[in-house]
Amino acid sequence: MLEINNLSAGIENKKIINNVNLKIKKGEFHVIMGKNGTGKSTLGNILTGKENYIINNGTITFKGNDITTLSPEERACKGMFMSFQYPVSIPGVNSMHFLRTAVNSIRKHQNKDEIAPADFIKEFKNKLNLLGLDDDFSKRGVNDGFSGGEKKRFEIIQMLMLNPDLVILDETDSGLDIDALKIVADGINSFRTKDKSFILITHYHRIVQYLSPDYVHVMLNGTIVKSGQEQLAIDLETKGYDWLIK
Amino acid sequence: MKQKNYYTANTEKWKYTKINQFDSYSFDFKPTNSKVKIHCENNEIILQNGILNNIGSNLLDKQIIISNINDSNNHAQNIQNKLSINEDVKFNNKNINFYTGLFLYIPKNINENISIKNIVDQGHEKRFLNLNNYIYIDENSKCNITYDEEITCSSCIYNSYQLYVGNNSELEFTNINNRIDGSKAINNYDINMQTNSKMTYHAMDISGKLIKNNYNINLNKAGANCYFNGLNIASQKNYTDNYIEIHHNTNHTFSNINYNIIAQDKSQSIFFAKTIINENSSSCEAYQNNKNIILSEQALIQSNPQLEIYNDDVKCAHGSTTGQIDEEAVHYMRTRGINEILAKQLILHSFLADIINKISLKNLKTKLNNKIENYLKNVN
Repeated sequence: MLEINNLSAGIENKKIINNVNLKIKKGEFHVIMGKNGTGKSTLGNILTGKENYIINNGTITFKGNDITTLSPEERACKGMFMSFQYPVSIPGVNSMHFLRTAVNSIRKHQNKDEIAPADFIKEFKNKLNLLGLDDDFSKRGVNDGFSGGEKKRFEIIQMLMLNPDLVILDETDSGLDIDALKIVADGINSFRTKDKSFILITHYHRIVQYLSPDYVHVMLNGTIVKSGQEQLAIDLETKGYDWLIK
Repeated sequence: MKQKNYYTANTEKWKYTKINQFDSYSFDFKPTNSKVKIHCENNEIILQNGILNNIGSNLLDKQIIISNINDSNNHAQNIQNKLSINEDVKFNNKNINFYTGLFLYIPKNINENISIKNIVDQGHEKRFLNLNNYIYIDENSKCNITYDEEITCSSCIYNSYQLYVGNNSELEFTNINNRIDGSKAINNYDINMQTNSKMTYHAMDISGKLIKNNYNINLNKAGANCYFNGLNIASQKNYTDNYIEIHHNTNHTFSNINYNIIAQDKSQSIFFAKTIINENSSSCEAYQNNKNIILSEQALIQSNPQLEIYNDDVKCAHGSTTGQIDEEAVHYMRTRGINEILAKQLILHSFLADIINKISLKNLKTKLNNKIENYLKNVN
């Protein structure tokens, strides 16, 4: 699904990602943990094609093709999705209209007809209910006036509606209360199949326990310093990161 | 005849637009009257070059008086000489000859939607076609009026509107300025509002080579409520100048201005609002909000929201924001598969829809939203 080889990247003269190697197969769930400011979100931004980042070295291959020169929308249309740590508010742009435009953009890329408005509304309302949000959300501006938790739930709704193959979840658990965390984790789990792959960026084991990942990686100073399984996340919870710094 | 003196270079409303550019123009274009009737919808009034051409069947037999302005004196007598029709207005010391215009009288206790279309097919590049439109809404009536000009020849138009909203009446007025042909327009509005009257005005300045709007709104009696909404999409070398003056002449009056501008290319757009609360006008509320998006380095927006308050017992606020499209928002949308141009169009359309959605007529709202969607396809 995704293969990152010897990736070094940064912004202007600052090197943030340093020789990262990561291979994610179909159906796998990977977790990346690490201290604040170690480049986890930057890696997510680079994967989804955010401008202003400079790739100094290495390749990113998605579904067998190099994507480093593709625009964010081309990557999304090929099946990549990122749930943002801080989803941006777009006042005035209606949530439902925005999401229908997104769904249709991706369908157009796949040579499919536009989704019928009635079908879309039905599906959208189903997803809103699944994530415990009111139907009224469809009338509101994108993330406009949403609480932190509502924003994170809306990210998961977008994931479910856009049906990507690779999902990057950037601190989707931050700002969620215990009940909301369970709802969001259930939303993610409902989307897991043998064809979908995930990268979860997080600081805490509490969401990891709901998601039973295949691999846990630790990133420090822009490099993956250790990889393991769920036990590694439990160890980090008790020991912190210092024992990994040589 | 009382001569109005505010169409000269010395007045504030001509601060930004140079009035002297019209020195080589005359204000005397006289259209010829066509005998051919143009098709008309049931609630429509058709003017051709400002001359009354056809009236929709729904508007007949309701005591509504619809006539050419120059034939209106008899009607004016009938409605107790309330009218003082403009006949001798001067523009920078030039005489304006009002040969045409609409006289519309809505009697008491009427609830009506009216669409006025002025089809302009005669004109001159340097001679203004002058319209004197007088609309009088009598007491306890509710009226929704749309005014749209369809221009098929190169022309310049001087519109003088006088609107009167009587006691306990409501007027929703939508004026569509979509002069894609490159014609020029100067629009002067004198609006008078009476006890417990409400006016919602929608200024849809979609496009035009030169649009100069001067509004003079008087809240004369207690309970007068004025909602002024407007939008302007300025592109190429187009120029729009809005001067909005609202006078709170008495207690318990309310005004709220919301005007959104998008300027691109080498266009210029001016928002200049002045709300004046008189010394004797207590318990008034006045708000002004101007939001602007500027899309190119050469485009220019002037924003000048002013409040002149001479009374302590008021609630007032004014604000203005000018910025570019939020690149973070565009990136967010792109990560959802929406291409960059479409993402920008969505943001801009929403910015304008904020104003359009204040229109209560669903069909008109849809029509304007479609018009704007088409227009924004050229934005890059």
